[in-house]
Amino acid sequence: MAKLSEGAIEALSNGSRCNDPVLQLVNIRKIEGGNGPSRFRVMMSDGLHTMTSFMLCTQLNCMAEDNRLAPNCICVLKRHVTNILKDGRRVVIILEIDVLKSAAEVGGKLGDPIPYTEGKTCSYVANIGFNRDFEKKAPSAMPGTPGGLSKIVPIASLNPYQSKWTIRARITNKSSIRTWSNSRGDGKLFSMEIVDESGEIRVTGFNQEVDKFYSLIEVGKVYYVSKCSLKIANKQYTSVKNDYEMTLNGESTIIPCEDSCDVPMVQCDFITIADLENKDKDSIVDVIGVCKSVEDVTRLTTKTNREVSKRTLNLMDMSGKVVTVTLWGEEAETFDGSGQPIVAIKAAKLSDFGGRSLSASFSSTLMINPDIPEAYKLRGCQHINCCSLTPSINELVLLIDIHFISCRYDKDGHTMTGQSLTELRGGSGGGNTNWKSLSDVKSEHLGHGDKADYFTCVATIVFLRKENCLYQACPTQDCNKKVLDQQNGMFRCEKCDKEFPNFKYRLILSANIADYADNQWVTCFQESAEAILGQNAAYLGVKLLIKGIFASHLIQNETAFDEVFQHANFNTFVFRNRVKLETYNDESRIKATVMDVKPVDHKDYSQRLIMNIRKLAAA
Amino acid sequence: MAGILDAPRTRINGSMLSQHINRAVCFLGRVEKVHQSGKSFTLSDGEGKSATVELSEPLDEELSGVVEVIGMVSNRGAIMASFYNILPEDKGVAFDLELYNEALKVIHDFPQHYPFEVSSSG
Repeated sequence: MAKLSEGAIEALSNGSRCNDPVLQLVNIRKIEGGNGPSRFRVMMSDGLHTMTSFMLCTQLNCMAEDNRLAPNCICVLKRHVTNILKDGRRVVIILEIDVLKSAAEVGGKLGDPIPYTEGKTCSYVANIGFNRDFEKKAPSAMPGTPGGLSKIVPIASLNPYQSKWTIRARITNKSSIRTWSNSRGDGKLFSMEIVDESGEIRVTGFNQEVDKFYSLIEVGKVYYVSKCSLKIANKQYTSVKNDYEMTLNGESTIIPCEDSCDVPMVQCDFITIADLENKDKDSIVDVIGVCKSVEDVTRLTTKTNREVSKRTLNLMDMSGKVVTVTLWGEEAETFDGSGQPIVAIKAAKLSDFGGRSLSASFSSTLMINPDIPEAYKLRGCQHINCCSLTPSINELVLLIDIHFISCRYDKDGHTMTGQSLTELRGGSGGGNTNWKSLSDVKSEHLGHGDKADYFTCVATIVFLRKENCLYQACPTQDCNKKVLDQQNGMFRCEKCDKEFPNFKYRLILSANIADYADNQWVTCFQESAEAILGQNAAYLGVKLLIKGIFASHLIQNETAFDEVFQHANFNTFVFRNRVKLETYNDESRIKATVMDVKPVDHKDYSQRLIMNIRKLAAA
Repeated sequence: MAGILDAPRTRINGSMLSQHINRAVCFLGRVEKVHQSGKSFTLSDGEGKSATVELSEPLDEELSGVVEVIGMVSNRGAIMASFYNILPEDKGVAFDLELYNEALKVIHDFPQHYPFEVSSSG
């Protein structure tokens, strides 16, 4: 029979050390944690006392869920942290626990434990103070901490119930400083991602913390970080694998750590550009490739009257495929594509705009000529194959590596073209595109049949209805249902049958498009509306983040908002539309919905026009 | 000479040169060869036909890529250039000479729809 570690509860409760105590689980209860993961609260007995303030760390939830941790089982507490709440109570977070005897084997409660109450005797109170000091000075297997810091814990063990901890982590990504301005005032923030051997976490700092820490922090360096606030991570804005994220506060400290060689570097899981085809839209991916070409920086004005720089570049990798990557803000401005650098992007967002393209958002890490094996491999290919060629051919053959790629030569056998996954200039969309002029659509009665008709046209935006173009949608990732404002700070989604404290804005834009012969009202949803308004998902994400935190209203500045619509007017696109006759209140109307918006490929467009002219002339 | 920019100048390709002798034309082509004197160069059009361009002054810059030339066609079928303009290729999409040539042919085949003074070219 396993013997319980009598006195262990007392020790845990007053913060004394006790190694691998053997305890009996008396009770376990699930606590629903709002929109975060549920947690398990555990009551333990050492045979003398019971204590209810044990919490299972979320990583161990599975043990409770598959009933390995059940009342009466005997366990050994291998690793734990003790947190002191503001009111002085201690909570023991179980980080690692082994079941010695299952509940079935034990069959009943051992001994006659009584609930332990802290401060039952004065000596315990005195002990608390002593032990706090003791904890700080306790020798630790982990590297030493600079004076005054709490002991070093792994990132994976962090949770909102802990207040005293220090982590030792490497900065893998630091955003630029972003600002916001709304009715509640102005502000700025930055975020970074940090990693240690146990995991990663996202850190955000606002205002004073931006001033205090932003310039201090260098990507790639290792720091001791402590006293930040932890909260449930908003997975909508980050791909960081952690249930929590932290916010810097007035008490937070970040101290450089010199002895850093054992802390892992940024970890990338590169996929080839060819494989992007098989990934879902909005996936977060790591890619590496040669920057084949780069466009000039363009500036766009956002709805909040903020100027954002944007730059696109084309990346090609060993798969011989090319993808367009959009950089934003400072990265767009400072990017130097000369000399065809190797570019690696961690956590780029995959979009299906124009086929497949990538966006390096604020949570992405851009690395130029990174010091990683994949980069050398690519660079190797580049050197073997492009000596003494003219620049244009250089550009094309830089990735010919006979061992890796089967390449496609053009008829002259000179050049290899990377097959682009991004339909850079729209593309003709294959041979089955149903090209129509807007007057054809009407004269041919498209959409009047049982099934909807689809057609593609080149048309110009002549009017955008800005009223009611945004709606408040369910914040659940795949649910875009309109939410009902409950007028109590909560928003209800009928589809999910849930209430949320937040919502996301989605676009539903009514546009009038015209070509040489006619015009047509069309409805554009999220992606197509973003394309027309010159916004993209990443930009919207940034705005949503700021808004998500401050719950301010999206449209702060009426003139800036108007400006976005002004700029969008009279731009010409290739539209793929769906038309269907719909009947409301006995009135039938053709409803046209934009499925896809692409920039006009002038080459492709002229070829088609010439072909049509020749066809008409021959008829 | 001063009037060449004001006068109608027909966009032509290499095979139309002989029909435009002593007339102002606009010719687009890829630079093939620059004469060592710097006073003449050859352009090849979208069909691969070449034209000789002669300059009054030697070139003071390197010439490559696609060049647009405005000038008079001499009796020998050379273009006596008044102006030339290099189409930069490092920005945006490369100029598609073949497609340009197709468009030229449309303009010349349907002069009734493209009244750019080309009808007299016969």
